Amino acid sequence: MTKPRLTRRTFLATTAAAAGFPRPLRAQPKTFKIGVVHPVTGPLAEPGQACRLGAQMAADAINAAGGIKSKGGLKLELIVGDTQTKPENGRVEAERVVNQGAQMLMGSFDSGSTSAMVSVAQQKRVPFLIDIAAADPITANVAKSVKDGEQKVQYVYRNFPTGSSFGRKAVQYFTDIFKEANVSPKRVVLMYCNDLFGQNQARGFQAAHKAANPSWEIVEVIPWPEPPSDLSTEVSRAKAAKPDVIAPITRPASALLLLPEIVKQRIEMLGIVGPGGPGLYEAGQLAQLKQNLEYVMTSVPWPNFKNPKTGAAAEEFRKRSSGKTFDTNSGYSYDGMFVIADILERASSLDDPDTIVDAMKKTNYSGGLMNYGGPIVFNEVGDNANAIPTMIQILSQKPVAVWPREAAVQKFIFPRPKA
Amino acid sequence: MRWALLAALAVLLALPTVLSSYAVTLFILIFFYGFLGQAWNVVGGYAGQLSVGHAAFVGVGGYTAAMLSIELGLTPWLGMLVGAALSAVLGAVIGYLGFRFGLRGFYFVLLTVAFAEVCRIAVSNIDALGGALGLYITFTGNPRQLQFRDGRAYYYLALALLLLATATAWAIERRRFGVYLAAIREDEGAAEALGVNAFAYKMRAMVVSSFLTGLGGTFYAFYLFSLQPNTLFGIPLSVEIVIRPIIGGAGTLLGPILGSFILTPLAELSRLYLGQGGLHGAHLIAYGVLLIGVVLFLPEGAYPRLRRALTRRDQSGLAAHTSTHATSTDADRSSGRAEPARADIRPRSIRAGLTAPATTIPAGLKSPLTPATTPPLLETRGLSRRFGGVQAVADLDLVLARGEMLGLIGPNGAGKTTAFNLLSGFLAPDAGEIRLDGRSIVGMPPHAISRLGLARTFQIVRPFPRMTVLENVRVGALARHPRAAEALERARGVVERVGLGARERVPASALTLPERKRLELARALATEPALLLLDEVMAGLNPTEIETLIQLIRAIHASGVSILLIEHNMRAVMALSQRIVVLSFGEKIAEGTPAHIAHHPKVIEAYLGDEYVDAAPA
Amino acid sequence: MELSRARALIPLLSSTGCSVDLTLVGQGLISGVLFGGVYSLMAVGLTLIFGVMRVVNFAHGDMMVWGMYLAYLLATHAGVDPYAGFALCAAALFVLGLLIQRGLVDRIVDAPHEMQILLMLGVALVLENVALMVFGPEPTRVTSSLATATLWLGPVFVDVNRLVAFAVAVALTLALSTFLFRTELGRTIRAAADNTYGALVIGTDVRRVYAVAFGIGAACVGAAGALVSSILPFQPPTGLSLSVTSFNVVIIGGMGSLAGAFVGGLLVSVAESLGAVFLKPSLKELFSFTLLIVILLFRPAGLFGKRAS
Repeated sequence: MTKPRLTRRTFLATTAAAAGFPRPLRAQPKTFKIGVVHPVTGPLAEPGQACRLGAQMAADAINAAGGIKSKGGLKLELIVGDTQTKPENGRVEAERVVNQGAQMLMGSFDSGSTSAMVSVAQQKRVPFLIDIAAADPITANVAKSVKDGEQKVQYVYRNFPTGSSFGRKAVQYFTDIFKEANVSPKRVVLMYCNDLFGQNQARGFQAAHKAANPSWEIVEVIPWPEPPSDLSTEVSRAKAAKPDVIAPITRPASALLLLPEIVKQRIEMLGIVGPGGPGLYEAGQLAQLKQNLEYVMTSVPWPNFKNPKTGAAAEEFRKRSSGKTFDTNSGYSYDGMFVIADILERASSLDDPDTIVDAMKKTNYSGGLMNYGGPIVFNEVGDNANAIPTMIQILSQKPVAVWPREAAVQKFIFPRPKA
Repeated sequence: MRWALLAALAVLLALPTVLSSYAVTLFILIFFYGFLGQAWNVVGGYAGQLSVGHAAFVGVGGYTAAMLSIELGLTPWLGMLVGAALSAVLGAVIGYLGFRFGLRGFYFVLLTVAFAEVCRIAVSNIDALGGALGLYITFTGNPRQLQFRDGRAYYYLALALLLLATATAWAIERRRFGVYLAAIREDEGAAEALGVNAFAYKMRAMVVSSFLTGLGGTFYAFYLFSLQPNTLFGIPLSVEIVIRPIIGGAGTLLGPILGSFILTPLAELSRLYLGQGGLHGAHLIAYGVLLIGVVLFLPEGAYPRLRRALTRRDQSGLAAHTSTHATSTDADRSSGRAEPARADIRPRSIRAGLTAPATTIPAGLKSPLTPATTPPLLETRGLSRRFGGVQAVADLDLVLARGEMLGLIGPNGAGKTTAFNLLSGFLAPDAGEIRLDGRSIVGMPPHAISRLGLARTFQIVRPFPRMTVLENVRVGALARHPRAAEALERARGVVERVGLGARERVPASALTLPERKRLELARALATEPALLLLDEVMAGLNPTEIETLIQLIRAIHASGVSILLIEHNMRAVMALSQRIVVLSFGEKIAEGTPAHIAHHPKVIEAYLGDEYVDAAPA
Repeated sequence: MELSRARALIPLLSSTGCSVDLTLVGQGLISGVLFGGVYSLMAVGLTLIFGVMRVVNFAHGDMMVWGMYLAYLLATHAGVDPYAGFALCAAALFVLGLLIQRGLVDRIVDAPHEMQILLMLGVALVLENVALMVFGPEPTRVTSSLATATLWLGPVFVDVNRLVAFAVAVALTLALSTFLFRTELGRTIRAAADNTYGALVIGTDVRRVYAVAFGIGAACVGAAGALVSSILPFQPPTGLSLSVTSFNVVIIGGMGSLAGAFVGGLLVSVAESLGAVFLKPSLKELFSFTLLIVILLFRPAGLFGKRAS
């Protein structure tokens, strides 16, 4: 009998360890807890950490300004989580933060973990604002299931461009910019990293191109395995297609390979214009790629620096991140937290998730620091159609918004000057 | 033990009523990874075929069920089985290639990794399967779609999967299947010699393992609602699957579960407490350090250690299965010391043999030579085998009558062991014919030959070191008695018979050399052979031991087993053999009764050189 | 669609208007062969450690990432070009290798393969995440004076950086061969590799030989890391893909064979490069894995390996 008892004791000990994680702390009244889950370690740690800091900065700002005024100055408290870009951790962390009292969720950068969090939100009726994640089905699936009567309420909303809206906008900006520059490139070569994000963007871009049928063509599509060890043959293939424009969708690591390779192979063209992706504008990338990035354009969600608040936030972010740029990731997480604050202000009661969702559905917020096509409003699938990218360009080694005209801080330079 | 497990099960069944939903989620992961580890354990642990590509089966299973659900509306309850079946097909393909082409150890690891990577790359590029973007499953909470609003339903589902895999492993472990897998893991060649069709059993293990793992893919898909090729087919998932059973104890029933109960909370705790603040990555460092620690200090895994600690306190436990696993290296070293230099054949010993009394035919043997109407038990014609430039066996004709005890002697390098390897199917002849009981056995694998009644021992003994004496012998007994209990009874009889009765619960690695020789003999004998091939069973034994072993062999012979023995110990050969065949440089140079051979000039020349023949008295 | 493109190319080659694709094929070949130098460099240390000690070093890629980061530190803080600094990186990794061997590997040299694999996985996890803590998650690449230098031969170009890497790979392979076959220490290492027991009998301090061999293997990894740090971008998780690629190269060439590592590197690289020319480039790794499976099945000892018994 000794053996069995000990075995059980081991089980129980482990159980206790598992169950003994921070229990709900419902005792403290004065805060509204929000679960903020991002990949702060693992392969996407860099953007994940930026997201977390953006959200924290926003919460600090909201609290400093008096919290949720309609609820007696209720303060926001963030319960942070880390997915390591593993879907299972999306689920675990969502469960944990809810268990610790989070009444809303925000996250989580990669579409796999986000998807896993969605199931927790729907299952446990926790309103969930997706600050970043581009895969279209995440919200569309829930909306469809509600429409089909399989579920009563949609708890998931997204304030970020989806893959297809990225694509639509990119095609539109390409066409506008070519027209504005008074050039008529015919041959565009699409190059993309064949991972979740890259493929999503590329599909959106190609679908939008087909729908818009502009005067320029996508003459060659070159996906590469991410992370690549070598892109020289891919670039040679792009060169062989005689491109007027190369449209790259990169990750930071592949951008470090791709851009020098394009320079090396001396491709004669009007310029490099990306349909949207990281790697082409961050401070770290600029420090390494330097002149290779000059005049490169890319269509990404971008802060509205015409808004003076944005400059202040960017400065604070730079300080608190020891030198990083306030951009897509930090910006959307920052705005996400303000959207949540706005929802809480308007919600008739914070005790029932469904009243929060009612307020969420009626969101009409225009205080965001990012460039939007209009106020933040959630459409029938729960996406904000006004979450749009901005065309930015690296000019004098700084990323600046150049299109659409109302967002532009500077005039773009296209075609790029011959070296 | 059984009551304890039932109690643990009852606790696990009741836990969700008291646990928070977060703790429930953690248990789901513990069960799920325990389940994957247990599924892996069948082929990776019990059969010892280290696969680091099991993620591929999770992926195939999950994608199949998800595609069937999304495209055809098929309920995942059925899709799960289809997915698992497809995973089993993939498992069979990988297994067939790996096992048929004889890839072992590290090479098998790479083959499995390569297949998983091929799947990952392919799925990333197939748009119909969602490509790199993956598949997204709509959350509906509908149980018909394997979805639940209450997280506890997943808890019971994951627990059920874990129990299913554990029950499967348990059923395998206590049947012939499991014993054979363990034998294959310990020494595939020795298992073959005992009638184990290693290829077939490894294939079965692979198919069972990949089928179970495939079931897990469906759970993954409908618990996490998205599938991406990088997460489902990727190397990191394969490593997660492998790591738990190895830390817990590969090839043990509770090892994978224990491993998961250790590692999953550890990963969670370290991510929670070390992953925050500026210490990004600290938790993975802790994970790495733990892994290193386990390898260095608990190389057999946590469970065997735990079990030993428990049995030490509770001697009444099931000791028969608790092999104390002395490290095989110690044992090997001791056997290396005990093994005499093979230059045992010196003039002195052959002359000792020459003067030995003529063979005494054991009493009770009805007829040493069979009537001419029935074919001889063993017959070879023109048997030849060459290694590079060396003709190891040349044109050998050999006849062994039913009931005969035939000696095969010759100087070192004469080709005796090669002849044994040819006869027992371990080597294929270049030319020639081998008939066992009138039936050609050329080209048959060793296990098939063993099943036909030809058993062999190995010159350098090859016990299954981590099995006890009884378990070793049981492997042989299972060839004729497929039911484990019956085989165990038979094995016990054989162990008694060779005089190892007192040592039956000792792991083979802890035996002395003479004991190992007896074990080797017992194992072969347990297959109930018609013909026993003994390869230098006397080597390294002292005269007393030799004498008792001679008596033992005589008794075996007397019970009706024909024997072909290779022996350097002339006294033993002369005492035992009714007839002797002498090989030199692969050729048969003489054949006859011991007395005839003892005086044959060619034999003396072969052993001693020309000069001695001239000098020797006629 | 991509497949039809490949098929369409064959008749195109014989017709007249095919200069573009021919150039592309030629360029693909040149790039492939030169990049093979990078793969060879990556594989040398792995094959050396396996050849001598039969230890399958799963921390290989992560050790190389450390070589890269050291080169990066030298380049950014001391202005040392990686082509000059690689010796320092090699020395540092030699010490690291010695420590890993003495502290860990030595204890389990006789253990089954899976234990070695797990041990080295543990080492890999530690190395990767210490790098994450020290250097952060961003990808980097060392800038070298040769980074964008090219030689043009008509329509095709030669990447000078890779040309140098290729030359270094040849030189390193030759130097190591010379060391193993022509020096006393090298002969001792080879003897210990061939027959541990025999080496013990003749009085070799096998533990010392192993430590030195592991150190030299690690030094090769460090040197290779430094030399390719201006060609490959890297970040802490890069180690895994470096390991996987190096294993491909080494198995195809033959575990333990220096010539095999070199030729295997060329084969894998050319296969991937031509894969990128003719098929969807995102499928190119399929070529190297398929090649790996075929080699495993039909010639498991690799193209240059000794037949396993």
